[in-house]
Amino acid sequence: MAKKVLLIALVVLLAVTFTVGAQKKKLVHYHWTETLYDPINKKAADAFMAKNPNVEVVVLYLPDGDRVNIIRTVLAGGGQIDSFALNNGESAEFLEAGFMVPLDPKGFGKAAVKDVVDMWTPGAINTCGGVWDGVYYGVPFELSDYVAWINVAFMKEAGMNPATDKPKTWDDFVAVGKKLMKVEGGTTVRNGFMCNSKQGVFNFLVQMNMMHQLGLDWGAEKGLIASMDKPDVLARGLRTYTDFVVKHKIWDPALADDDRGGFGTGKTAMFLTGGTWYWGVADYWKMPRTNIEPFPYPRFKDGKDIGGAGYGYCLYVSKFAKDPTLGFQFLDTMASQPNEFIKVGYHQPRMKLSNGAPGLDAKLAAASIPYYDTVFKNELAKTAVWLSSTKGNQVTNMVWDAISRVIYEGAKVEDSVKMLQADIKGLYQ
Amino acid sequence: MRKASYSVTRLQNHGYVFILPTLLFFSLFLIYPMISAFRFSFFEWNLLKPKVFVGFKNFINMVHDSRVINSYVRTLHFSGISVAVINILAFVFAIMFSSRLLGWKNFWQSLIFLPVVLSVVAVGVVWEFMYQSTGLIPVILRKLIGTSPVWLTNTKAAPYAMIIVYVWKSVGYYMVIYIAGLLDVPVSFYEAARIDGAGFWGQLWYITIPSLKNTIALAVVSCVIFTYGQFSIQYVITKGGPSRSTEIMAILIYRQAFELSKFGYSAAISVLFFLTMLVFSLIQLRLFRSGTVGA
Amino acid sequence: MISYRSMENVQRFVLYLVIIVLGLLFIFPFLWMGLSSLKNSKEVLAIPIRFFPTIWNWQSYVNVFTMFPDFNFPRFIVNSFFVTGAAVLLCLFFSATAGYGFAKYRFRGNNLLFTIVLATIMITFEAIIVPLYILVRQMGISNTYWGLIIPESLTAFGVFMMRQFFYALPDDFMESARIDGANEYLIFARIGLPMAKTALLALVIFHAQWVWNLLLWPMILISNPSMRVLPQGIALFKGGYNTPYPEQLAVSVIACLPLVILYIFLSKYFVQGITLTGLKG
Repeated sequence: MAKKVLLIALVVLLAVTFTVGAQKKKLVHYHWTETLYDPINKKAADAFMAKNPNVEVVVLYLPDGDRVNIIRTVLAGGGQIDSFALNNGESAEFLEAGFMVPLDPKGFGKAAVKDVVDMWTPGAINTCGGVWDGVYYGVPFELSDYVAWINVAFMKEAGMNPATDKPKTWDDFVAVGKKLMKVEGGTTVRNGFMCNSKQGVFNFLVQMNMMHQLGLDWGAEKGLIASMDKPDVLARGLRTYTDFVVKHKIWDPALADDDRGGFGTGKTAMFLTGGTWYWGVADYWKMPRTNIEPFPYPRFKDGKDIGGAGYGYCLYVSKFAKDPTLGFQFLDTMASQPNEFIKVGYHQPRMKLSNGAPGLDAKLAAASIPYYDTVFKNELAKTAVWLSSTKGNQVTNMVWDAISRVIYEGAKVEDSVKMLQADIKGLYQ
Repeated sequence: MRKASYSVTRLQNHGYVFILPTLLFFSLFLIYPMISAFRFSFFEWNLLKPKVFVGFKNFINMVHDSRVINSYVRTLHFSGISVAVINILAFVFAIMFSSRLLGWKNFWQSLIFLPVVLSVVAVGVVWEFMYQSTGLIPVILRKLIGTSPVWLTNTKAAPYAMIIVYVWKSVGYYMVIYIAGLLDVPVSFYEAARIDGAGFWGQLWYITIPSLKNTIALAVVSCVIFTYGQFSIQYVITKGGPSRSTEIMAILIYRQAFELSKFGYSAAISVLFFLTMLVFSLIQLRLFRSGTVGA
Repeated sequence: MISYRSMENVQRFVLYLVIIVLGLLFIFPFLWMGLSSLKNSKEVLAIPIRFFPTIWNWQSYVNVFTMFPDFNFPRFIVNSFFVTGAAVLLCLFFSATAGYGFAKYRFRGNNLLFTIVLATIMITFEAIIVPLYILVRQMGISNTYWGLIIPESLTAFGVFMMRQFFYALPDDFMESARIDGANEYLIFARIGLPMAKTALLALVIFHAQWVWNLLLWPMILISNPSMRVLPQGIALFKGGYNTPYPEQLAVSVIACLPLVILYIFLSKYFVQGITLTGLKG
C-alpha cells in the first residue's frame, strides 16, 4: 500500500517538474564557486536578465578543482554550454581544439575588435590566456599575481620586527620560518610555511616560480623542454622547495592540507598562493587585517628578479552557443563590475565599460587593497609566466609527482629529477 | 508425446519475456558502453579533438608505466587485506551477535550495520578530521601507546587508514550474511557434537565452519569484487595521495580520463581492470555451479 | 566448583562488554559528526579536542537551509528521494522479472544469458562513464531525471539475488495456478512476487543506499542546479575554498539521516530477506 502511494507521489512530482519550463532563450554559463564572489556574479546575471526579459541565464557555480573537467565533458558530450570561464593555465587545450568563438565586437556595442581589446589594460587578454594564434577569444575576468603572505602578529610574538625582518631571499624565508614554527608535545601546531598538500597545481606554481628565478623558462613548452637538459638547475629548484619539508622542517603537511584556510586560521605563519583577493578571504576567516601582510616573493641571491606566478581568468563563448553575440553581451555584463569585486580584493583589469563609463577605480583599488601600490602592482610587472601548453595538466601532475616523491616517499632529489626528465621528454616526443 | 514437449517448450519460452527488459536495458546501458570503452583503448583521445588510432600503443605503454604498476599493486594490497579482515571480523561478529546469551540482538547488529548506509561523501569529512595529526585518532593513540603514525601524509600509513574506513563501512553487511548462514545450521548438529563431548572450539571447527562453506565462499568472492571496484573512500579522503600511495585502479582510471584527458589510455587501463575481475568472476561461477544454484 | 549458570553469567557479562565497546566504536564517527556539527567553527578545529560542544550551536543547521542561496538543500533532498525511489522501484522490476525468468524457466541460452548478465557486475561506472554520457546525450535524456534514473537502476546483483530466491522456491504454486487457468504473468505478479516480499525489501536497502550516495554519475550528467541530488550538493558545498566546517558537518548529518531512518524501519526484514534468498549459500 505504502509503495503504491509512493509511486503515485513520484509520478506526480515528475509531471510537475516537466511542466515547468518556459519558451525563453536559455544561456548556460559555467563558472566557479567562491562564497564571496557568487553574490556579485548573481547581480550581474540578474541585471542581464532584467535588460533582456526573453532570456533566461543559468550560471553554474562549480568547485574550482572540478570546473575544467566538467567543462571538457560537457563540450565533448554536446550538452548545452554557451559560455565558460578558464584560467590561462587551462585555456590552451581548448583554444587549440577550437571550442571557442573569437571576440565579436557587436556583443560589446563596438565596431572593431581593437575597440573591445582597448577596454582592458594593455596585454591583459594575453596574460589571462585569451589569445590564440593572434586571434582574441577571451573576456578578461581576473588578473592577479601571487605574492608571499606573513602573519605579523606571530612575528612580533617571536620577537621579530615586521618592518625589517620580512624574508627577502629564500634563505631568509627558511630562517624566518624556523622561528615561526610551533611544535607542542611532538606535534606541529603551527607551520612556518605551508602549501596545499592535496592539490598539485598550487605546488606546481610555486615550484615553477623558483625555476623561472633560476633562469629556466617554464612559461612555454620550448623552454620547458630545454630546461630538461639542465638537471643541476632543476635539482636546485626542487631541493629548495622540498627542503621546506624534508630538511628545514618548516612545513609539516600533516597539520592541515589547505594553505589558504590554514593561514586564515593561524595554522601557518606564511604561505605563497595568495593574491589581492586574499584580503576578502582573511575577512571570511575573521583574521584581522592588521595581523597579516603581503610581501614580494623571496628571490634567490643569484637568481632573476621574478615574482610570483601571474594568472588570470577569461570568459569564453563556446562554439555550441546558438547566439554568440548574445553570449558576448552576457559576458560583457559579467565582466562589468570591477569596482564591486575590488571591494573584496578581487582585481579585474577593466579600464573602460562598454557604455563608456570608467572601469576600475584606481583610488578605490588602492583603498580596498592594503599594499596594492607597494606590493601587488610592483610584482605584477615581474610575474612568473604560467606555462601555456595543451598538455599543461599533465605537466602539473608530473611536477607534483616529483615533489611528492621527495616529501612523501623520502626519495632523493636527484632521482626525482631524473624521473621528471623522463616524464617530460616522454610527454613531448 | 511430441505435442506435450512442444507445449512444454512454449511454456518455458515465457522465460524469454521475463528476462527481456533486463537484457535490453543492460545491453544498452552497460554492455554497449563497455564495448565502446574497449574500442577507445585503441585510440588516443582527449575528448576535444578527434580520436587518433594508435593500435596497441596504450597497452604497451601501460606495461612500462610505473604508475599503472603501482596502482595495480595498491589495489591488490587494499583488496587483499580488506577482504581478509572484513571476512574474519564479520564471521567473528556473526558468532558473537547471534549468541544465545545476547538479548536485543537486532539492536546490537544494527549498530555494526549502520556504517553501511552512511554516505561516504558525508562521512569522509569526519574521518579526515579524525585522522589529521591534531585529530582524534592520533590523540587517542598517543595517550594509549605513546605514538601514532601520521595517517594521511605518510605513504605507508595512508593505505591502512583507507582500509580501516572501508572495513568499518562494510563489515556490517557481511556480518549479516554470515548471521543468515548461521541461522541455517541445524541445532541438532550442535547437540550431537555436544553429546560427543565437543566444547566451544570443537563445535566451531567441526560444525560451524564446514556448514558455512558456501556462505564463506559467497561472502569472500563478492567481497573481492566489490572491493576491487571501490572508489569513493580514497577519492573523498586522500584523492589517491599522498604520492599515489592510495591510488587504486578505479581512481587511476578516473584521473587519467578526467584530470589528464587521456581517455584512450584510461580505457586501456579499464580493460586490464575488467580482465582481472573476470578471473575472479570465473572463480565465483565455478564455486556456485558446484554449490547451490545450478539451472 | 563453579556452577554452570554462573559460568554462563560470566560469559554473558564478557560478551556484553565486548559488544558494547564494539558498538560504540562503530557508531562513534557518526556520533562525532553529529556532535561536531553542533559546535561553532572555532571549536570544531580546536586543539585540544573536545567531545561535547560548550555552546550547543543549532545555528549551523538553520544556516544550511537559509544562508546559501546557491545550495537549495531542501530541493536536493527532494530530488534525491525522487531519484532513489524511482531507481529502486525500477531495479526491483528488473531484478524480480529477470530473476524469476532465469530461475523458473528452462529455455535455451538460460545459463549463457545469466552468465552475461552476471558478468556486468564487473563493469564499473568509471570505465563506462564517457561512452555512457555520450549515449545518453544522443538519446536526448542527458540533464534529465530519466538519464539519471535508468543507469542507476541497473545492478546484476539484484538479478542474482532474486534468481537465488525464486530458485529456492518450490514450483508447486505455478503448477496449481496453471491448472486454474492463470497465465504466466499473472502467476508471477499475483503469487510469485508477493512471496518475495522480504527478499525484495533486502534488495531495497542494498540498492537504495548505493543510489542515494552515488556522486559520480549525477556530477557529470546533471548541470541544472534545480535537479541536483544531495551527494552532488555536499561535494559542491565542500569544494569551494572557504567552506564553513559546522555547516559542512550539518549537511553531512542531514544527508545520512534518511537512510538511517529507512534502515531502522526495515532492519528486521534485512536478515530475513537475505536468508530467504539463499544468498548465504
